[in-house]
Amino acid sequence: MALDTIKSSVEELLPLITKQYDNECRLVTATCTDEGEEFRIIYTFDDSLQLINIEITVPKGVTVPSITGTYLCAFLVENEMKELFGIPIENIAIDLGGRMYMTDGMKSNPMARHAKELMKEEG
Amino acid sequence: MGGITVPFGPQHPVLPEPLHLNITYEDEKVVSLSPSIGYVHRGIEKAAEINEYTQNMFLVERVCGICSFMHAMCYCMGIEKLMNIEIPPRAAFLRVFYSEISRIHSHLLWLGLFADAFGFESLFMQYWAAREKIVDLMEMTGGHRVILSACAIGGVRRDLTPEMVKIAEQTLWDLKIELDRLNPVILKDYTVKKRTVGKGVLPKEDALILGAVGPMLRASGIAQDIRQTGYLVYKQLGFEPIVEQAGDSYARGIVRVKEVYQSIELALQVLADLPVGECAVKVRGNPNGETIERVEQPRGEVMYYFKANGSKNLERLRIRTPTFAHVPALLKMLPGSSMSDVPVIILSIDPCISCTER
Amino acid sequence: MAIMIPTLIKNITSRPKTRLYPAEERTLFPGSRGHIEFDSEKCIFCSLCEKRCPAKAIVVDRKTKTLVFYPFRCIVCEACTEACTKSAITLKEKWRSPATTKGIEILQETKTADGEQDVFSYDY
Repeated sequence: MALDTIKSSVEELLPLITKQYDNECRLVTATCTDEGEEFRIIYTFDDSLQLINIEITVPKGVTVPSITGTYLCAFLVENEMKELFGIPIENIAIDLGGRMYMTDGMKSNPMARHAKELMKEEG
Repeated sequence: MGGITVPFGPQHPVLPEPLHLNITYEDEKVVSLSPSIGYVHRGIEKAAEINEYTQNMFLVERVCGICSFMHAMCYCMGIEKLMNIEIPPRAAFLRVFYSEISRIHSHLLWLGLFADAFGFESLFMQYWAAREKIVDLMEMTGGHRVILSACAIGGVRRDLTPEMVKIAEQTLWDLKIELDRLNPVILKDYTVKKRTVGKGVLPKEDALILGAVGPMLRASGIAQDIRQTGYLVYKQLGFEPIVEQAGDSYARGIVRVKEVYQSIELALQVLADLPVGECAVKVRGNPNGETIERVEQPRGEVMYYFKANGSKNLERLRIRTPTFAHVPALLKMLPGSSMSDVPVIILSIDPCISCTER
Repeated sequence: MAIMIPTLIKNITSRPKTRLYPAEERTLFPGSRGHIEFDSEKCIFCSLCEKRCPAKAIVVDRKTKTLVFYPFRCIVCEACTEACTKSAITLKEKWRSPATTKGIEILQETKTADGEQDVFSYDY
């Protein structure tokens, strides 16, 4: 069974998010999966107990805009995605600089599929 | 001129788990703050991809100690949805019984810590003595005192005998009488009111946009509770959420006190209506597809995202716990309050940091 | 002052809520999860319990017929008890006492001159 999502792209992401804000939806969270060549990010909203999913597919290396301009509560989940998966996200309202979960000296992104090559480089 | 920055550090007597906030004060009033988490990160989402899907249930139970049954229940409900398994009616009623017992346990623990936060240690000890009755009930029915391990894919692992049902009903009645003696201290005491009324207000317009869930949302005037969607047998039992309008720490305390009474009634109703039958079905095969599942935990709404591809291992498991959604809400609640009120306000969101940084 | 007198009398005359441990021990409920024990007579070394264990506390070698159990890794979840087809694993209610070193338990099946013999040894 598949999820029913609204498919969108990186360019059209911010207007769609503003539309959810105008409808008074609550942001639940953002989920990221690694599909090999690209990342797939799903933003989940709740509109009086009904779920609305917005999905974007991002090739590796492309920058994603941050949604903290409208939903300030997303800063924690965007910091986590940036640190654990390595997605470059710009303009996060409170940016903890990749040191939220991992300490100094650890450079690889543990959840991404290319983590094994990066860990071999570090030794 | 700029103020002084005082860390509300990882170790603090009020906090049960480590959380770090850099708070800037000016004339002893909070101006701004910057949160940072990451002291108990264990990498559970990565470990869930390495284990088989049957072993994951024991891993996911240990994300949090207090809401552990609901984590296991949400995981099992998601896997059952992916594999099209239908659980027997007796198992659904027993899952609701264990959920409500967990909710009573969590709220009694929070009430004790709340009393301890403003120095009222004897009330803290009395609430935890009342909590001992519930913990003994959990050991008698489930097996362990805190991490129940009572849920399985396809039902529940243990059944209740008729003697256990009688003892459970008697325990819940005794607990209600004990709480009628203790709750007026929290609700009507002059000192408690002075320290909590009007402090840490989360206004109604901001609560939804900042992503608050559970008792925090209901204390600000918005009636939203995932149990209203009617999963398991809640539609049959009839359920209305408890709402308060003020949005301060006192309102959050009242919502949790009233929820304990509501949970005792729901548990007694479930025990009276238990149907006869088996308590689990056999499971064969592997899950395939993706889905989202939500359950109401004591602290709020928890969301699980599953992605499976037909093999014994899950491809991705994402967990979003309620305290993860409450830490950004502190950015609006704390500015403007005075330095001595900060610990009580932070404790009133019911922080469970090991859930936040699985 | 008058409000305190009933509370005072109740506190003086009621039983204490604590228990004088270790003189008085707690009665355990039947079925509460203490620790698990292996029966060396019934085990056939099929390694089903090793596949189900979430904590990697059981290691089975089928060729040499050896089973090694690490009791300090065990989380007492009963997954192995439910998986064993010969009922060789039982659950006991008493909790394990603390120890200064993490020992292991070994089950082995050895063949002697007059038939097979099962040996159970532990090393704490």
